[in-house]
Amino acid sequence: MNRLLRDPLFLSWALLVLVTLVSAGIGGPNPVLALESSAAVTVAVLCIAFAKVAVVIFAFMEVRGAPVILRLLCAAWLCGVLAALLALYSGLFA
Amino acid sequence: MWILLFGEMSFFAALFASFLYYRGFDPAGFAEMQKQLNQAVGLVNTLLLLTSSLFVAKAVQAARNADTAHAPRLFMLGIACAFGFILCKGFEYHELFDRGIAISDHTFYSFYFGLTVLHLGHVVIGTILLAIMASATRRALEKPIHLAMVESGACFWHMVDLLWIVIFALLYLVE
Repeated sequence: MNRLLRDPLFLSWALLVLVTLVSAGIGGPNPVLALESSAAVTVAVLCIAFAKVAVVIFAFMEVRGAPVILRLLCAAWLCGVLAALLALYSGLFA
Repeated sequence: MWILLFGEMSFFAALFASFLYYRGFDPAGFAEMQKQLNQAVGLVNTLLLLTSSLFVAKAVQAARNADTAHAPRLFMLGIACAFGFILCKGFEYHELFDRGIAISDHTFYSFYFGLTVLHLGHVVIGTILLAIMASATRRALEKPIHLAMVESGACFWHMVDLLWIVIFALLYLVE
């Protein structure tokens, strides 16, 4: 058990499972924990999703130890796509 | 490998953006259609892919250490999760078709089926890659290129996982 708790991959997985349950609890048609506005739910759900994607990229795909250029490209993809999706949701391009 | 991964990730990103763009024209209709989806199945599928990613990442570590006992087993556990995902997706499609829902009923369903079928295709390709890697790691990898191929296959699988994370958020959770 102690070995598991010191394993970065296991800890990353546990974190991913935890935040998945949180986002499923606040989002969707029948949320367990209802937030006041649907915009707040969407922003929270999308930010959590991209935080999870970041964990997958940097921990599971081992980009954390990759050359700087790959780390920068991954960070740019994450930030760029999240920003575009939030802008589209807010109706910025409508 | 990363050129292929970025290409795939950017292609899916364009589909995600299109989904939100079209959603902007009919948010109430999209929300109504979303209610027909089985969120519990989507959640189980997310947990299955996250768990498979853990097994695959551990399998790569084992392959790196020439651990021919654990690496194939861990890949097989990843494959078991992938089969679980495919079964759940089949169940979900069956449930929707049983209710008479068709791809042409609403733009939401065009995106739902388009995104999930495309993703399912990637799951099938990824599962085949995992099976090849499970077989290859039964013996110690002789050349560095073989380990690089295992790492690349694993990265493809993790990409399948990360794409589903965003698909789950967009289709099932966004309000």
